[in-house]
Amino acid sequence: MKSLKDMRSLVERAVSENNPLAPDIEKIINCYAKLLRRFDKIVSLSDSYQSQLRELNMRLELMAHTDPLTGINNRGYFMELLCAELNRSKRHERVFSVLMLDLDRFKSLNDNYGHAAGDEALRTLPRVIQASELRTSDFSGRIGGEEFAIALPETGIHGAYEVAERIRANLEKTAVILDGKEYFMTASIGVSEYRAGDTEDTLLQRADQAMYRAKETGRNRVCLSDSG
Amino acid sequence: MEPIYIKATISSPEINFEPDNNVLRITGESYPENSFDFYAPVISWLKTSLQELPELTLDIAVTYMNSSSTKCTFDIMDILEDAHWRGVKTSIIWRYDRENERSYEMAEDFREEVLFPFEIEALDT
Repeated sequence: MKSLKDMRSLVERAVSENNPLAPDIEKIINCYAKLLRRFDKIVSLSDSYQSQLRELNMRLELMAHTDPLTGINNRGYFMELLCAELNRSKRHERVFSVLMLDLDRFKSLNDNYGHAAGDEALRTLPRVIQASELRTSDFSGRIGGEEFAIALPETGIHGAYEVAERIRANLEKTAVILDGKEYFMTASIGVSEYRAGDTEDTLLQRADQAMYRAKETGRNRVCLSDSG
Repeated sequence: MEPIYIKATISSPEINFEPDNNVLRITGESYPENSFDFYAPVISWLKTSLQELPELTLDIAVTYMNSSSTKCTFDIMDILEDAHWRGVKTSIIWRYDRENERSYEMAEDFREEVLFPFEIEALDT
């Protein structure tokens, strides 16, 4: 396609040669210029609409993965990530562990202080988790009302125990303001390590059982799954 | 002259002419399989009507258009512009999405193409 500059020089040449068609040539070149401008505009507007769509898509995807209250992964997305990690560990014979965390006495907190307070408490645990120096490959999710899970790739049960203990200690020290007063929450944590033959469910179940044992033996503690 | 009406589909806007105030409304999203086929009856109705009507306002609230719809929209605007120069009172009300900053800028891009009255208003007004 000729550039507009080339086309305009055609007009200049026609004028200087006293070509009787010069005014017609100029009309055509002006139409050409207008068409070129219009073409560029259609393309750029179309790009804008497409960017809009992409942004909307990203937001929708995020919403589909996110727990609205806490902003962390919802159960569905956590399970997807867990499934991928399970397959990876199976394929490459890697080690990884999961933690199940349950806020202690959450029901009575809700009953005594109301649901707004309960929501604030639920938002606090993910913040403590974030501040507990997890690696970028670690991921968490809210998988029940007051139940959270964390997956720790490349981590055996003892390393996972240290992470769990760190979170437990940080949570115990973190004050939530409820009714103008400082309230310190605790969590019971169960730890299990992936072993051959595990599905997402069996792995989480063992961590869950360990967490229940933590509750039964006094709360605000970490228990390892007996069977690893 | 029959007022034009085309029902909206998931990928094409509603086209509705209100004879009481000579307003042609285009509402919805525009990404039909073939925009040229979709807009052809609108364009031919417009050309005929502008021979008879003293005035026409295009009220357009389309939140998304594919590139061929964008082209057809410009074609429609060109027809309105031609009628304007013939003495028909043409105008456009372009409705943009307040939640989307780019939406207003794009309305301004469309406005640059015409010399007759072009108002930009928010979608919910």
